[in-house]
Amino acid sequence: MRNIIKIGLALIIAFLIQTSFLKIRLPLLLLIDVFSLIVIYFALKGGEIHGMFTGTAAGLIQDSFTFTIFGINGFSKTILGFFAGVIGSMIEIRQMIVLFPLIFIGILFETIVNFFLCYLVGVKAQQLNAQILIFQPFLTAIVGSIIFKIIFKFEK
Amino acid sequence: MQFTLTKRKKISILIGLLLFHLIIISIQVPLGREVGFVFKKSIFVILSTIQDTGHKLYFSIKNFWKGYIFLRNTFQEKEKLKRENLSLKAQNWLLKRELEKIKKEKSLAQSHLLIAEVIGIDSMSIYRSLVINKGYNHGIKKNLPVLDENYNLIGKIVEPISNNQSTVQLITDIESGVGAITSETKAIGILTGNLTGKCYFKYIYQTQKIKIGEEVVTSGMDKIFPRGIKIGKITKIKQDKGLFKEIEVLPYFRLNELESLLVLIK
Repeated sequence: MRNIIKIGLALIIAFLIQTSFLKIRLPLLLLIDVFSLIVIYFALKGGEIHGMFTGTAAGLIQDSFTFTIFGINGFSKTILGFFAGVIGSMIEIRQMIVLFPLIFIGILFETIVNFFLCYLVGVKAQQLNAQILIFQPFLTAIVGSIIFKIIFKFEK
Repeated sequence: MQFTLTKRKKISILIGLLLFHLIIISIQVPLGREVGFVFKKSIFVILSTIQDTGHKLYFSIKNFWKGYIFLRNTFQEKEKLKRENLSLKAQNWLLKRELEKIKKEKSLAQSHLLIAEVIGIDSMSIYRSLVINKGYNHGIKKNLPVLDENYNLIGKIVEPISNNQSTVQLITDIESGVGAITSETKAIGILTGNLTGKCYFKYIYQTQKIKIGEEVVTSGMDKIFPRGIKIGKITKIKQDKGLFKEIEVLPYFRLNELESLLVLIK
């Protein structure tokens, strides 16, 4: 129950940050995918089950606040949660050297799944470009690995 | 053995969740997006209320700081005057338009402008949609045109709409479509976005005369946006071997300057 409340609160905070109008005035913030960071964090902490359900919830929230087919982000983030959970159970994730590539590859993979799904169902999506494929996962991975490292340190 | 069972269970949950999403998606593809709407609207209603509360909280703290610590009453007065000024400007604009229209037709005679505030942005792309703090309770309904403070077109109201919040689809969204006309050469086409902050003016024949810097306004042919609302300026014209020209339009509205916007209630 405590975990559900934690996930719920984290998702509300992520939602407020992700859809905050202030982000427009701070353009660098637009490149950080806060929802994906929450999914990866709970997957690493609680395993695949936590990851999948957090991914589903985060994705559906994201779908509710964008002009696209409902369920596309839910699908890609569920996969992200599952794989982050699997990897988290296999390797020591407290090291920065592991966290950074894990977040980077995870978000890159999620983006590709998302675009593939949009293509399959015929939804017009933003064209894949360097900003989406490199900068967004890169910046999110930098910010995410620093935040995760701090949280893990406090949890110790 | 225990590990294998748990693993199998996890994979079953994954398959179950993915199937759930695929079913929702596949229902919406042939039957239209309204099908997935019950879920979408429920989440929208709950979270947009939280968003609105967060927005109000942020501004009340900001206003408290500015109003009491720094300038006491001056700030409130300025804000009040700003709102009044915007409202008067809006009325003035409408009156001018009505006067123009009365000579031709009476399409805007029964319209009024509702001032709304932006409380959120799209969760995927900033050029797709906005969330505003007005909904059904304020007379908002689907397809109402939305303008910025200088009466330039921003977009239109789309679902989900709740009692106190609603979604605005921006003209820069890849799926938006606005009937448009150039102010000088009178070329008629459809304006659509590309999710980068610019728009494309489509279906203009290669033979049609059109020039860079020309203003693009709504044509009124889509029956959603009244004729004559300013959209933007042509910034690039590409002529290739195809039937139509590739025309880039830079919208007048500035996303980073938006605070209040106007909904044209018909």
